[in-house]
Amino acid sequence: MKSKHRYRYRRRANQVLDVLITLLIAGFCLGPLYWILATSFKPMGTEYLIPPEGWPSKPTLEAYRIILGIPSEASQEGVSGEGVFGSATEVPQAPSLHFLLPIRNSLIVSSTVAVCSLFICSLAAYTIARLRFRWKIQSLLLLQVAGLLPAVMVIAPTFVLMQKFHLLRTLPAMILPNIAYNVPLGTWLLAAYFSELPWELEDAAKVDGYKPFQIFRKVILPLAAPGLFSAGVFAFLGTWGEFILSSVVTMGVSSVQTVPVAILNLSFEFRYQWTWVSAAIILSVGLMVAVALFFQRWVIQGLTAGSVKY
Amino acid sequence: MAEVRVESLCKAFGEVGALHDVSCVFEDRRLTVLVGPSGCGKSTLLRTVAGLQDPTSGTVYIGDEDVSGAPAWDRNVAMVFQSYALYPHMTVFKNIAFPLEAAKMHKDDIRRRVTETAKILQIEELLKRKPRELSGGQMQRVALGRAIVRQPDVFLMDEPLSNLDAKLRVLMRAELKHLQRQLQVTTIYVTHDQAEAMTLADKLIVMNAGRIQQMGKPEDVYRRPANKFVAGFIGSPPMNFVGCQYDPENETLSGAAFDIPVPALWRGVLGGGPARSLILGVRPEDLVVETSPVSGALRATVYVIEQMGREILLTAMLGTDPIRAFTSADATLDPEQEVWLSMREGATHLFDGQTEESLDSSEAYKA
Repeated sequence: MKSKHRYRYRRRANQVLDVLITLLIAGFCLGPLYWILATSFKPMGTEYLIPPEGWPSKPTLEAYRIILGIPSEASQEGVSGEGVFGSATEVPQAPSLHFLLPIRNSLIVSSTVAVCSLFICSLAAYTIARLRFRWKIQSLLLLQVAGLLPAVMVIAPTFVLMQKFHLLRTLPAMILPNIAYNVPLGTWLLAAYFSELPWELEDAAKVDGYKPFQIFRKVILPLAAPGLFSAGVFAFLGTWGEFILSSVVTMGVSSVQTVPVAILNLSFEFRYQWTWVSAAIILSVGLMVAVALFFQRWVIQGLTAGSVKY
Repeated sequence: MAEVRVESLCKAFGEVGALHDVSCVFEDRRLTVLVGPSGCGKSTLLRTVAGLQDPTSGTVYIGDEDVSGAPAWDRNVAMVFQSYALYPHMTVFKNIAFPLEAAKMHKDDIRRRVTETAKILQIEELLKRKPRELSGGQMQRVALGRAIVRQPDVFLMDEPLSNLDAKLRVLMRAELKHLQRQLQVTTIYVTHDQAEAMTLADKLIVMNAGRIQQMGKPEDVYRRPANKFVAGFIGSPPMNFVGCQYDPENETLSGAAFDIPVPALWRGVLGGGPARSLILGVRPEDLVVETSPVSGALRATVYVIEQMGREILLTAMLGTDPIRAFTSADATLDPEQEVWLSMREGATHLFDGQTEESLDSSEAYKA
């Protein structure tokens, strides 16, 4: 009986510990995000209040209205607030902030990168996972090494390349290099996925009269939908958050800026208006979450269940 | 419809040889079963005929055409896989229609052919389902449907029943045989199950270690096995083997625990020859169990008695060799009891002690 109680007590203690650790990790990850969310709803000037407000006492959508360039009384009169240097700072009229433009740019760049890199990665991954050829392992390793190069190392040559192609200050200057950046990881992800698909399906399709590319299109790709989703979302999110390349090749031209660059400019240009910056960050993150949730609908778990029986 | 012929086929995977100089004919409109233990090369042979594997050397003919270098999609063969290999993202209808779409057939014709096939296999009500919604037996039928819908020259079946439960397997076995008779398509069927092989085959090809051991009608292979491997592989429970020495002076076969006169059947074959080491083989159903001494019988001790319902399977020890025999269900036997096992006339087999090849038995068996 004694040991039974001790066992129960231990189990209870473990459960409490589990919950505490989970809360700690969640707080670490979500804490800053919560703070940004709360700040985005604060009336301008109240973000520096001491003691700080955990949640604004008078929440407002003003910051969103301003960064999206929606005219309102406040924005038409010009807004003022406490800057980072503690003095009241006059800021330009809100209608000049068209945050929808960087969102549009980011959507174009990220989705083009996701689609194009999926096309290239799926072909490369199929070749690596399913076909036999010399230097297979070596090519896979080379790809991996290329993927390990830090962004700062490739930024200068990429800039020169884009300059030669006369692509600086355009969206393709971000699209083309980002496709290349995403190929190594995407190929690895998809190759791992393809290699797990049963060989019999491919054999069956061959005997049924299909050639390798048709098999790839009609059998392999539909079955790899969850893998394609993962690789696509990785590419999309990676490109959406990409900063170094975008900040260099856009060269300060606001019409081609993507979201991360626009957020940085927002904070510089308007003397650290944290409510605006926070609203911009929340919009950016919210869109990402929406994209991830939307595409998740297309992933049917256990799609391969029932295809072959062992 | 076409005859399939392979000539001097060799296949090696790196250093490992899977097929060694295999030549055989799969007759037109007949069901030929390739049987052998795992790793004997039967699936490799089938996949080579399908075009899923290139032979290292040798030739494959379908009809009169040499297809050795042709890819699988150009061979007009249909294959049923052990795992069924149904496309999980397609409905049953789409699965069956898939080969017809590859042939760019008109949509109306595809619909007609799929419906006809579904009718033959009694799966009309499953056409809208996905493979994951089917039972093992239903998946098996869909896989068969996908094979027969295109009316191929040859059916290739790679252990198609091995994933079904025992009861369904027996049922499907009969259906398969009926279907093959009905469609009259040359069929190559691979299995490791000798009972399945015996019941299905018009012609049986027994393989081991990448080589053909024996070909022929199932009953011939059963009655006149060419070597000890075939004798032991075909038949369940397997044939009993005991090592012995032929003594030409006394015309006896003597082993560690027995000394019997050479069976009449073999006297002509052995008579006058030198002393040699042999392997005596006799099937469990060809032994008669007696509880009192019988001359010329093997004296053994009862080891295990297994009641099978219709009969008893008895395992008795002949020295250190276990011997199995069937006897009637009402026989009263006890463990450790002495029994005398006499061999039915004309049902003994002798194999050379070194080569394990059957002594030329054609004459002996006729006797």
